[in-house]
Amino acid sequence: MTSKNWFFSGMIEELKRRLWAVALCFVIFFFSLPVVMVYCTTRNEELLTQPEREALVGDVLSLLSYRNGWIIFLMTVLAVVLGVSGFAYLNSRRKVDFYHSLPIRREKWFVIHYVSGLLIVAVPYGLFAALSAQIGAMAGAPFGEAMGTALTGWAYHMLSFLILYTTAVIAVLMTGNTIVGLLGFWVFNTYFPIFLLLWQALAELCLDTFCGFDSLIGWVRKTSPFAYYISGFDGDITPGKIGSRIVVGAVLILIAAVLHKKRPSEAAGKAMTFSLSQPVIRILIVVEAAVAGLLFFWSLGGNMGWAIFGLLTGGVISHCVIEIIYHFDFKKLFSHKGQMVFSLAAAFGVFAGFHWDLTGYDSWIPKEENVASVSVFPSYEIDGWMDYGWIEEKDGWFRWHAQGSLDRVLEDVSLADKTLALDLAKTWVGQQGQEQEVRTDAVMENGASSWIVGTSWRTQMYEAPVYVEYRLESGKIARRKYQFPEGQLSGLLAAVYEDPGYKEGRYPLLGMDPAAVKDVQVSVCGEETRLAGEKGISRQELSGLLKAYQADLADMTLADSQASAEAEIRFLDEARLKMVDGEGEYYTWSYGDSEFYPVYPTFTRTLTALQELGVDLEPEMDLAAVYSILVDAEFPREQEVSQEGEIATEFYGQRSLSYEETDREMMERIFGEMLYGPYRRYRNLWTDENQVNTRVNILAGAVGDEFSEEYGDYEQAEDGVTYYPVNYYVEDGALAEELRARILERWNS
Amino acid sequence: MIETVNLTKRFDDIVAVDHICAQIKDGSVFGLVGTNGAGKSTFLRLLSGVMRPDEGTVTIDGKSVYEREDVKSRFFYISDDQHFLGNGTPADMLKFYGRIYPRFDGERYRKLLSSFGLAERRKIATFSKGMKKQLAVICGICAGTDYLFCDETFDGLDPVMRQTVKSLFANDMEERGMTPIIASHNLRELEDICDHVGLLHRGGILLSKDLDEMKTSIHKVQCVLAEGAEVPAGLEVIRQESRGRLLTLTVRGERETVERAMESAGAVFYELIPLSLEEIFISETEVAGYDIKKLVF
Repeated sequence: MTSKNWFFSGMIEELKRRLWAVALCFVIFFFSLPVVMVYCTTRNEELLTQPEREALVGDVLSLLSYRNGWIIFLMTVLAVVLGVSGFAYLNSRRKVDFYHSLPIRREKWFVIHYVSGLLIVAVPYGLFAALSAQIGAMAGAPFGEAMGTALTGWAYHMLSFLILYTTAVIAVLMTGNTIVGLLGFWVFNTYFPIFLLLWQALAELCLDTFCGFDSLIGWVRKTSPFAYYISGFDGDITPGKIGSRIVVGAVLILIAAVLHKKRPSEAAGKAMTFSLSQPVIRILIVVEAAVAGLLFFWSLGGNMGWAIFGLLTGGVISHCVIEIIYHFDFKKLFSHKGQMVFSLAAAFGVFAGFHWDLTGYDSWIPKEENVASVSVFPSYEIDGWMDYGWIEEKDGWFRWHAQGSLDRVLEDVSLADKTLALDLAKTWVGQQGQEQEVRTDAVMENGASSWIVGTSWRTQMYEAPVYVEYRLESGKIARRKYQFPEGQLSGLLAAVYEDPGYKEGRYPLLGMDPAAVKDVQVSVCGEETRLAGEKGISRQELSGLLKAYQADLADMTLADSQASAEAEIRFLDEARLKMVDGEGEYYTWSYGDSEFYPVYPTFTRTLTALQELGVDLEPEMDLAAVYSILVDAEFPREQEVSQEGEIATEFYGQRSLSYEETDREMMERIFGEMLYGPYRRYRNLWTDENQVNTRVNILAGAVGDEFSEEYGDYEQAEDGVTYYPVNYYVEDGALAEELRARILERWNS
Repeated sequence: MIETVNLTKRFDDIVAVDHICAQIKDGSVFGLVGTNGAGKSTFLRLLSGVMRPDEGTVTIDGKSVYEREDVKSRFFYISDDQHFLGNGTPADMLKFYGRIYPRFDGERYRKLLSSFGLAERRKIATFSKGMKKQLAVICGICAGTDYLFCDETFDGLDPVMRQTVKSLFANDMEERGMTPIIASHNLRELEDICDHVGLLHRGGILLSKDLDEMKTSIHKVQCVLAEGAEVPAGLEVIRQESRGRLLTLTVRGERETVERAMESAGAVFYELIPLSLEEIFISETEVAGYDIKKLVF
């Protein structure tokens, strides 16, 4: 094989050697693709309706696409099987003697064994994917699209297979035993995700201001080949996605090639191939296991004794297991005691760094001159109704992709007055010394069983946390979370709320071009109107309406936003209009009721404009159309208990009690004060423990179908009357008090 | 010529091959002897480029062996437990080696298979240990390489086969100058085939000499000297035993020199008895300070 055709000659021999793998792959892919395709597409063409035909095409493309989950499973299993079987000969001294004594360079053996593993999967998968695309085309799918989808899926899965397969090869090359190699593959795929989870858990438990959960989770996909594979499901196949996988694959191949070249032949049969990697891997795993043990027992026992016990058990057991594996000898379990002690100390050091905040993470506040800009997310209790997302255009259709509000707001908001955030941080840090004393007292009172783990200990009610993002001049971005006792923040939140930089980032509608508005949806207590579509209002008037709303929104104070909204409104540009009008189409369902904004009573410009455009903002509900009103409220659940010889009342939770109101006079009074239930979400920082919920049961056919279809399913009373319920509520006050008394009266009787 | 200079290989704390300097001349049979664990297999694996030396060099005609295809194509290595292609037959091995060794003689391979009674299409996995050894030797001989490295190859062959293989070696040595290097712990087997012998012990080489040279330069003499006579001063006596008046001497020197010395000493009776390879090694290694009885027997 010293001639130029060494590759083909070697491949022939290698494929003969691994004929079982070739047969296995052909059988698996045959049943996974063409057989499934035939099964899915075997329909009576003439009986298919158009939607069924479209669904069939969707099924065909889904089977061929890169999102076929079964192929992921197959690829993962095959990567391990072929990676291990291809290079397992290195674990046998006989085979190493045989192959390495032949006049063929090791690089050539690597190429032959490596490429054969790829081809064993690539060829049957490619062949059967193409055949399946052809079958799909015969069933009605566009041939070009089916073939293109199959090719894209094949390319993506093969690239991901290459990464997993090369990882398995690296695991085999770094070990001298097949079982240890499989363990190595498992470690490569899980070590760093577990590391990040432990880091996350420690930070969440020990650091009060830590809020980097999402950013840490984002790293998981970069630290595990399998997670990297799965993460490719998000979004479409892009050049970046393919390119990054090619780069990662190339780097892994390079590592594997170097390891293969450096791997000593005498490593066959040993646990680990390279002596240098032994202490590194041992220490890394023992530290992680020790921290995991610490966290487990700390969360169970809740005190430092249990934490140390967990650290010792996790660390020592993992060290012993590794030593047994390294030496294949149980008696060697306590070898390398020095490294074990070092690992335990390192694990404790990691824990100590978090527990006592040795790095000063919580108390860190950037200097004002180092801060380029700052963003604040006050809490989920303020503007929690806001919807964020982005619109993707695909084949002439638009699709709404929802986003989490925290990340979006922190990215978009930039306070005009950055000292607001810095003062907030300083206030929090200043309070920490006092709180620490309170905590210590509590521990002394409650003893070792007290829950003192991280932030789970609280002695009083706290506001929802305020999130701050510092963007430093250096380009670094740091996020912190601050939590204050209830009521302490109202002044500061009002100031943040009125900061122009806050509103600009918080409400994307402020940035909407008035000329782009094509229609406006106005909904008043569930009755929706399309201003252009139904009332024929001109685009110029719609633009004016948006300007009015933007002006009201910009002037709004936190106090204004605590009122009950009069209506809700949604401005539609071309893309949004298509999403709304295309109801029922594949991509339109995603938009739903997103991006409705409240119209508060103080939005006088908007209210005036709506009235001028002929929108009825006070729809009258006819009492005669109401069958009954179901009134319900929350009451504390209590019981009498004996305390130190005396009977006392103890409260434990809430219970909901209700009755059905049919008295017309009372119903009329309720009508006068009740507020539309779904608009409660627009009331910032609004909590009313004494509110009374009222479910108004409206007789079927009493109002237009549109209204009744919009809100609730029909129900039938015992007397056969059909009605549908609409939710309202009555705020705390005389009527609410009276209603609560009536509930208790009915309940007690 | 194969040459090793300061060849060293360590496995963790164990020095398997310890600074071995040796020369293996072309056209001779080199026997590598030693006890189990002496480092014979490791030495051969270093020679064949299976392992990379920790120190020192292995060269064939001045060219390093490790990862050199042109150099490695000059030898064939038969390990003590030879591997064959999975599920393969002798016919498969023919195709395989035919692609690797350009001078592989397929015709002769088939003939030898037939002579040895090995079916060409039978799965090797069903062969006995001895049959596998035979097949390995046939592959090695037909590869047409200049050197043939054999690790315990004769172990497991019946006496007839051993003789057959030896004659095959002799034939190839004569016809195309093949140089077999044979590692074994059995000195008696090597005695009638080796030209040159190297003794390994604990990774080091105790001695390396031509067998003929050893045999002609060392003798066992049984003699009875005249009353009051002493062992001739001119003799280099390595070992001396006495039983009554009967002396058994192991002496170094040419046969004629020894005979003249005995006659001049007025020996009543003397007889020169040829030494076996084992006895030569015992004597030589005792001189070197080793208790060879523990090493070889």
